[in-house]
Amino acid sequence: MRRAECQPWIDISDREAIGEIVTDEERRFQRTHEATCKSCADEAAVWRSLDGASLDSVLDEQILEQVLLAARAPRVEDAPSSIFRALPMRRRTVAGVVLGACALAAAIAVMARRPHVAVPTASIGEHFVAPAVAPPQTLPSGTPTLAPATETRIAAGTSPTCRMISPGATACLGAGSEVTTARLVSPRRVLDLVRGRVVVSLAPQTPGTSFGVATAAGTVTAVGTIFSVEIMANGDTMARCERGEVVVQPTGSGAEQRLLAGEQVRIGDAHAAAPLTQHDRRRDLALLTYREDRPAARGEKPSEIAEREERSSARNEKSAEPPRGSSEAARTASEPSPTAMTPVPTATPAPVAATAPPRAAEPGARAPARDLLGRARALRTQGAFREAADSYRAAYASDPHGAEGRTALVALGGLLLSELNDPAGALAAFDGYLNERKGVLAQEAEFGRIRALRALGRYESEKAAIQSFLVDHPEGPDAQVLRRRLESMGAK
Amino acid sequence: MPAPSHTAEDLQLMALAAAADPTAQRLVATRLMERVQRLSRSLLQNNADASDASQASLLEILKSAGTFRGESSLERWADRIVVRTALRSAAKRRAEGTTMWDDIEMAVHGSSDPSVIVREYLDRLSEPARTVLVLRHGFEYSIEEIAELTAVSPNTVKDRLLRAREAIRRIVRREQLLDTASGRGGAR
Repeated sequence: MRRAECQPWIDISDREAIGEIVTDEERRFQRTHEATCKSCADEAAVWRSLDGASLDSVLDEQILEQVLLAARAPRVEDAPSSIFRALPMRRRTVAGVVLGACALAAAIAVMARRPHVAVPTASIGEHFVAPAVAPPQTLPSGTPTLAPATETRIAAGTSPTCRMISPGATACLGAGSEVTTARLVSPRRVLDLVRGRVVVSLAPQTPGTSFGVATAAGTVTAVGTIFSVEIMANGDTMARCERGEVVVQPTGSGAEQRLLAGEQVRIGDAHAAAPLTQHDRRRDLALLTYREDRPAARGEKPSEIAEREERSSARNEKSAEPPRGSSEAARTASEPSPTAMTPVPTATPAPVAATAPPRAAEPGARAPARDLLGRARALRTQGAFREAADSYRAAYASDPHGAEGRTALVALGGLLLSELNDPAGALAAFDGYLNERKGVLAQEAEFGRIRALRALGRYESEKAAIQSFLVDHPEGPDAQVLRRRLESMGAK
Repeated sequence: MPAPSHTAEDLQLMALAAAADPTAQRLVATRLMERVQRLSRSLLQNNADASDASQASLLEILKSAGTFRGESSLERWADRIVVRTALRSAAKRRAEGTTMWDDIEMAVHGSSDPSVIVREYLDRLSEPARTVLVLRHGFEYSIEEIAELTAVSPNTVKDRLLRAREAIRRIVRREQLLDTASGRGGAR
């Protein structure tokens, strides 16, 4: 239905939104119209569903405990991390120096291989006591459980598990992971990762203490942060920093490497830190927010979660590689004009050939393309991004000139860009869509193309693409954002 | 999401919380936490900021418990603290020069979960637009109440609300084209 035909419905809806009176007759008209107009029905559903919006990965139990702790803690050092960050800059700097000194002290201790001296843990709040002498604590349902005092080994079975292992420190273990806590004593607490993956969330620690995770490959020491360490299936160890900063020190090496938020590194690898992919970040945060009393977030059984974890680990072995291929190639290439980008067929044939079902290649097979598109969406929703990308490619290959195939191309571009850290592939996909003809998704494709150019660091091309976009689409939220971006580019 | 009505018990509860009674503090925090997180996440674009704002808001609520007079429900009273905290956080972001650009996602998405889709819609709006939209539709505040909460005139609120609705409308109707093109949506 055309927008003009919907205008009376829109006017009534807007009037109601700003508090004006709507008559019964007008309400009847709205209901009648929604029954025949999908656009207006969808819009009405959006307004209704706003009430259920938000809340996807907020650390609710942790927030509760940290707030209650902070409400009773008069000292700056005892406040939870985010509240701590909200302090005036001068105080933050002082505290930051203290924390930095903690990390440095820990690193020096590791370098010198000093024997570990057990010192009672400084008590921060009444819920926390020294692990060496404390009886198990009973915490409210849904909160991470405190590691028992005598526990020296924590192993996750087929499901992830979270433990409050030390004052202000929560560790979440992926399925099949194992840590030992024998060295988890103040002031330099070290959690030994035996196998698998552990994500640690720390509130700012008492001055003079530090917290680290050690593996055979090296030690990762935190400076008040969220970070993860994972022993991969091939024996390599990955360190990832979600928030704050960590110091990575390979075993037997005096060299330290500081890892900032959003970075990851293979311990012992001479390469510089690589950006943390969205996939890894979500995976770590998902584990950190995992609740043992609520394992089936989407109807999953623990065994299914474990299987997904395994799949993720396998994928992660590939994605953990710094993105040298596509992005470096793109960086070194001379900057072509917007209309001379790499055509999609050269960028996508291999995966299509490798993954497309035989019937997908049949000419004129519109139904398979639709099926593949639906499969890709389902895989994407499950977090199986590489498989989803393969399905999108297969959908495109089976119907390259039809609506489904071309839709798959735009969706593929978005997926490569947002989840798979492949802006060059994304650019090729968007260009493939735009170069054939401008369809109904042209605006999305152009917007995605701009994001891909930005990710590739192709400044001038991005600028030109934004200017072109604003000429074609001067209104709407995308245009507002792009104008701001253009202004900031002009200011550089 | 209308606020539940308040009772005399709330006054008593907040008085105890103000006196640093641990049980009362936990009861208040537990009762308000979901609402605080929902509002913070609705007003702010990324989870980290929302998580920070939620913590700061809950702490402020506990610290200010003694100022609760029961003139409105506990939830509405708490909302004011959350909105101010979230808006301060957003203003700080702007002052730091970080824009919403990095968090922009494509309208083409794979999720069929309405809350995820709406989340994506909201994330594409500017902070003032998102604020009025969330307060009006998500928390059922009147135009006048939103004006007071956000320190602008009622006319400005109306203007922002209509602009926000139009922005969402454009996205919704464009996505319907996508659904039609991919065969996901059906003609009525």
